[in-house]
Amino acid sequence: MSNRRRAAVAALTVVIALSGVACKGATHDNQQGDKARTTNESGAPAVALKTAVKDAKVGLIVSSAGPGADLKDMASGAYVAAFRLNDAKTGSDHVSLVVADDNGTPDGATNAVTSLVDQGVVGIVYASQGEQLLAGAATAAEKGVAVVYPYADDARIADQGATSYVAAPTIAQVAAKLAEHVKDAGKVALLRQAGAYGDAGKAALTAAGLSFVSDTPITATDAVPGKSIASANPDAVIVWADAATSLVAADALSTGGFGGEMLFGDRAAVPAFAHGIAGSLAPAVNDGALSAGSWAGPDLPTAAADAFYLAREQAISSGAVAADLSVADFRSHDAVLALVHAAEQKSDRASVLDGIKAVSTQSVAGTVGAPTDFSKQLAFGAQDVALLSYSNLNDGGGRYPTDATAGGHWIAVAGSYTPPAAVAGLDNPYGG
Amino acid sequence: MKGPRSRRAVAAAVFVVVTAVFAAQVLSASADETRSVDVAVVRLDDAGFPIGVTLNAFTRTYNDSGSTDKGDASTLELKDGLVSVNGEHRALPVVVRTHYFLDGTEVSASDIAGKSGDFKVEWDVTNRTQKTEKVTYTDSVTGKEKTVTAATMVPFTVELAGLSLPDASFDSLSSNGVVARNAANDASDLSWTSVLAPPVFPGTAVFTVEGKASNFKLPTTSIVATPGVSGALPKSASDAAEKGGAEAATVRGYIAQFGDGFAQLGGGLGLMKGGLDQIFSGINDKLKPGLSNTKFDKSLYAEDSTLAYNQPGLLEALNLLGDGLGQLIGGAAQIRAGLKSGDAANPGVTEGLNQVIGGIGQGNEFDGQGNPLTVRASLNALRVGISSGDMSAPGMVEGLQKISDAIGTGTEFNGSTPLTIRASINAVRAGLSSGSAQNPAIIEGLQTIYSSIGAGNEFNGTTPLTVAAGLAAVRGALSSGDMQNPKIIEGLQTIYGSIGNGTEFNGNVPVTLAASLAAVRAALSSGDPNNPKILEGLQKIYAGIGAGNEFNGTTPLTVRASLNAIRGALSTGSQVNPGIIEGVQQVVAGMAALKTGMTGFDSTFVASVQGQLGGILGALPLDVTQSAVIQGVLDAGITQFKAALDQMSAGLSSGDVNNPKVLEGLQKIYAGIGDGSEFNGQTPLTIMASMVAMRAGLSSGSQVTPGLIEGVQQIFAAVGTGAPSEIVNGVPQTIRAGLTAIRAGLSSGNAQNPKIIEGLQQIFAAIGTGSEFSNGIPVTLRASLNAIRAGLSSGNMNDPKIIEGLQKIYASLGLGNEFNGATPLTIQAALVALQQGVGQLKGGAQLAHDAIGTGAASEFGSDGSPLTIQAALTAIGSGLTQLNGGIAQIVTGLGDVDAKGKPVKSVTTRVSKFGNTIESPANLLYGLQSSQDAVLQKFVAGVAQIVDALGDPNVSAATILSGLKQISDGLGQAGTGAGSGASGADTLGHVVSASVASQDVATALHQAGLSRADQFLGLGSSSGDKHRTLFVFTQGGVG
Repeated sequence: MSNRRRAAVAALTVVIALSGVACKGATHDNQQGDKARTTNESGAPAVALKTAVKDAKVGLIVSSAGPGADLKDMASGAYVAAFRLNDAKTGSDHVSLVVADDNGTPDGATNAVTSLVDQGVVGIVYASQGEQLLAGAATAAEKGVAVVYPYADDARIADQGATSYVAAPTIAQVAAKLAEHVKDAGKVALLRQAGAYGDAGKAALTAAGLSFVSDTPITATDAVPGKSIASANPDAVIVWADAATSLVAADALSTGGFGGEMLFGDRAAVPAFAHGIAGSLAPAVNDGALSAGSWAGPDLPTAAADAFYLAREQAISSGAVAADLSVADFRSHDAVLALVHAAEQKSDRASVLDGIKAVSTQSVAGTVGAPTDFSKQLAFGAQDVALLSYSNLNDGGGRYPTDATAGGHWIAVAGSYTPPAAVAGLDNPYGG
Repeated sequence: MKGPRSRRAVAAAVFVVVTAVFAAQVLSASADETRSVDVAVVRLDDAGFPIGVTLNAFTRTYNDSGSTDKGDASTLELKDGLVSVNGEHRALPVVVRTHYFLDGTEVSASDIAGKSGDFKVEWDVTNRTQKTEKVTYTDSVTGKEKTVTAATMVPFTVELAGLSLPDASFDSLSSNGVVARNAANDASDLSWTSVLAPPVFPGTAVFTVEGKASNFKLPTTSIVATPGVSGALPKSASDAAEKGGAEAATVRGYIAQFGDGFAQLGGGLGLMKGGLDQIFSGINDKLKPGLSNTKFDKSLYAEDSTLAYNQPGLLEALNLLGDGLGQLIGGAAQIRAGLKSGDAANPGVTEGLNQVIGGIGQGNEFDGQGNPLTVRASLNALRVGISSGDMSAPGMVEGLQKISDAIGTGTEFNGSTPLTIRASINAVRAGLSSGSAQNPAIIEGLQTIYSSIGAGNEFNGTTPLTVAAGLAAVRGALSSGDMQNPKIIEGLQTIYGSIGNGTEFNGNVPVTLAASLAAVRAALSSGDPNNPKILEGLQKIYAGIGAGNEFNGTTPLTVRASLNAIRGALSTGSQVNPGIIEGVQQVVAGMAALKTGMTGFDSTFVASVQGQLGGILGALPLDVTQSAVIQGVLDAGITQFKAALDQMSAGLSSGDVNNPKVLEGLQKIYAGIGDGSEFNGQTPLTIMASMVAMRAGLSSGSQVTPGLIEGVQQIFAAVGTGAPSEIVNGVPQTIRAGLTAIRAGLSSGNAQNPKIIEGLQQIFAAIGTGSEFSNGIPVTLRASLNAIRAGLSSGNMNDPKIIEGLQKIYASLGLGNEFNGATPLTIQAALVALQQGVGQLKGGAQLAHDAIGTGAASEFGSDGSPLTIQAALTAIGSGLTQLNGGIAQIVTGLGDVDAKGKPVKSVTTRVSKFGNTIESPANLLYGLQSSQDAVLQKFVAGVAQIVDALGDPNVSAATILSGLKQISDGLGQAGTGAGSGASGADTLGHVVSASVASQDVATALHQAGLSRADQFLGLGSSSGDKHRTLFVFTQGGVG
């Protein structure tokens, strides 16, 4: 050790000793002599959530077929919420979930809502999307039951039934966010799913100011002319389709030699899309593909998110929940909390329908995701819609799907949204 | 609170890391440079959750004589898992979770403390710094620069060191870290280091140690996390971090070349194989089977010689020829035997021909029942059946004509009545469709209905163009679902709410019409005189005015009684019992008399006084010298007194009503009060008259000609309470009853007993949006219309509904010209075809009729050839007779066979030029026998040798076909391999392209992460190459 270096070490020792971190006589001793003691302090976030509600039934509708089927597994966030409201243990009786399947059809949706109402639910979390939700919303209005749609993008639901609340970005909001990103990109091509969803996407993108060098209706079973689209050298391609169709389109574009920016509609930002990518020998979508949706994702560094994932672990390990929670999602979790919050005063259907109008999830304990304000039927604010980037980066901490088998995930693009004041700075939480 | 030992351990850890950082910088530092290190010390609970954060900022300034160090520590607020830094939220970049296991079961720290058994401790250290940014990289395939907005992570090097487990408590330790012995050899020192940097490195490191514990105690641990990647990287990681997909892109180029080469090779091999296969095919498929078909089944061939798979080769054909010759011999022998038996009971040809000639007959052979007995007689009967020439007794030809006529051409109508099948079909077709929307038939009508029903979105501006659109418009007009933007239902609900039931008040302010009326009614009358409202107040005013005669003794009780009392006090009209006026009049008159009396008083005053003084004993008389003075004074006083009286009198009364004094004023008051009868027309002229008028205005005492009170009473009654009694025979008698009736008419609040609002709501719901179905059954009007619409038309001819079905029926009826070649495609076309067939059949029958003929001489041509069947039969009869003669000659030419059926040798001989005797067959049978012997014994053997030389392509041997097949198979395999190679190269190229892209992106993300590490602020505000930010995660230990 040089003299200079030796002197520096000595000086530093003094500095550390004088600073708040150290105590007198601090040396680099072996710690063997320390008598460690188990601390009584805990920094763990609260998993159990207090509620005065007793024996309340909350309906959960999922879809085993149709576009809503891609959300079926994400809907298991509702189980995490029920587990937390039930004191994070088995045998508690605050809240029980009653699950119904709409089979992806209008008749199924009507039957599911009717069945849940007949079984006495106080409110319904409709964790699906697709045209059948309109029938469900109409039936819910007739039955006078509050329904929260944590994943639906169709604003028509609000028109269809006054008791329905859309708690996810609408097609118009998603389109506006994508358009905001590509408006200066140059040539933009559109591939849209044949049918109502694709038509609505095109209309919303056009309304958001975009025009397209080509507009190609696509399906999951027909060949997509990726080569001819790529040969026009668009700077960006927007694929507005469900997950399966988006994968077909992405494969065709990749095989056709398209090298520009790929953007996807909101229905691609689901686990099924990532599964498809992971299962492909030659993945057509890489890190950096874009979509739009809620800014709150698995990268959220808050204690509320920690609590959600801790609850997810405990729900499984305690045996309270047998469902597959691997892709359980904040939004269905938060939707259950909102309905139960509305039932705190009186847990009957009419009271919840009345009470939900005063609920803003910012004031609901345990809420993890972006805030929703149920004083409006379209409860998701435009400021909370973020550009999403597809990422295969897995920190290994258990929050993200296993990249090798389950695919990547979507992460909010910094600067593309405005975090609520309570978490200001959350879009740049690591200081660089 | 942290204990001193824990603090000491933390300080030690901080010391180590700061020393290391500064030590790394010291060699490159120059004078007057300042380097800084931020050390964030994160105190963790036993499970790894943070419970406190302290930021320690160290700076070192270098100078010529060495360096100067400064340090500062600050506690940062930790809330909701986030750290508050300068008013913003930061997150910890690395998280730690600690798990404890005892005898294989996970337990808490407190549960393992002091326990003994198999233990395991696991620290999961995770890099949490995922965040998006713009990342630019070069595409290894295209060489172009690309920019994506993607997630990156700040690389961290994490180290857990200095964990010393004493042998006294721990044994049989194993770890995935580095285990060393301490200097005293009484403890194991453990350390772990890992790089957390996805995508090149894992994002989570798991540090484990396990073994056996006795009285488990875990010392304080510190995990140091440093931004960046420390140490040399493995080559694979180094390549991934630096080269990206470049190498893979090179491989992809090779693969593309391979693919092209494979494709060319495959093409060449394909050509070669094609040529060879043609040769092979020619030999194997044609020549060889032509020579010999080894699978030839002779019996099967005998059964059916047309089977393509069972055709004889030359070899088999020769054998067949031999067999055929044998059969020919047999046949010829049979012919010989059959030609003539000489026995009429067992006839040969000759005998048979004679019988045939008889069977043909002359055509006139019938039995007694008219049954034909010969062929020609039968033909005559058949001829008549084919055509009778009489439409009333039709034969086949006439019947067919009738069928054709019944089918018709489609134009046969009697008025609008179709007369033929095609005319009927055309009528049906016209009824189905006119092809004109202006003159609609069923299909156009249904299409119009379908269009008229519509989907509900057909509008011209706001004008609905379809039933569904109309219903949608009606529905939209019925309800908006938004009370701020009311439609009919919301308007009626607002009206309903606005009418109210009379109980709606905000404090005292009524908020509904009924409540307002209730308030009005309450303000009109309380019914309680002690709590008077308007009516009671008016009644009190009326009573207070009174009739003028209301007195309690002399006390007036009403205004008019008071006025009468005042008037009575003012004037009684009597000077004997004067009122105020009469009193004043009397005062005025008295003052006049007083003045008059004072006139004589002044001249006698002195004398009177002297006289009276003289009568008084001792009184001194007036100084008479002064009597003038006295008299003067008296006169002056009297004069003044009189003036005063005049003044007083003038003040009391002027005698002029236009210059009123007290008296005239009182008189005016008196007159102004009046007695109530003073009116000029309807105008009251006095107070009393006003009171009379006012009182009369207040109340007439009649509800027919009501005064104010009766009016208020009528308003009060008209407002009513809305009680059921105010509705008589269903007719509301009061406003409130009317409003109650209106309100009840607007809404019952009961969907089972609907009023207007419920009715409209039911209409609204009943109209629906069109998507309301229950188990497939429409439950709303629009859903029904949609169901009807869907039932009317699917728009898909492959899934036909009514319209498509009718269109199919319409199309299938057709016009009669729809043919695919000769195949009719519609019913009418089928009828046309049928008609044509009938025509042909008729023509054929006619031809058959004519062809049968009668056998007359006219049915023979000029060359004697028969022109009809009967003529032919006549000719046949003649020919058969001649035939019999020829047959006898044939029998001779055929020769004879022996008892075994073998031809009897019959030859002619000659001697050849070589001296040999040559035999030539003398008849056919023996000639055939000679030919069979030559084929079977000589030709067959030669061909068999050729077949053997060709061989079997499926049997490896030295044969032509086996060799050719081997060559072809080889070329085929080579071609297939080349094709697979090209396809595989293409697939592989795409896969490698994707891999190249993935690797390029991964490298770019890693490089971007390294850049983030350089700019990493952590929980401080400094970054750059002269600054480092470190995190020390400390746990206080267990035990």
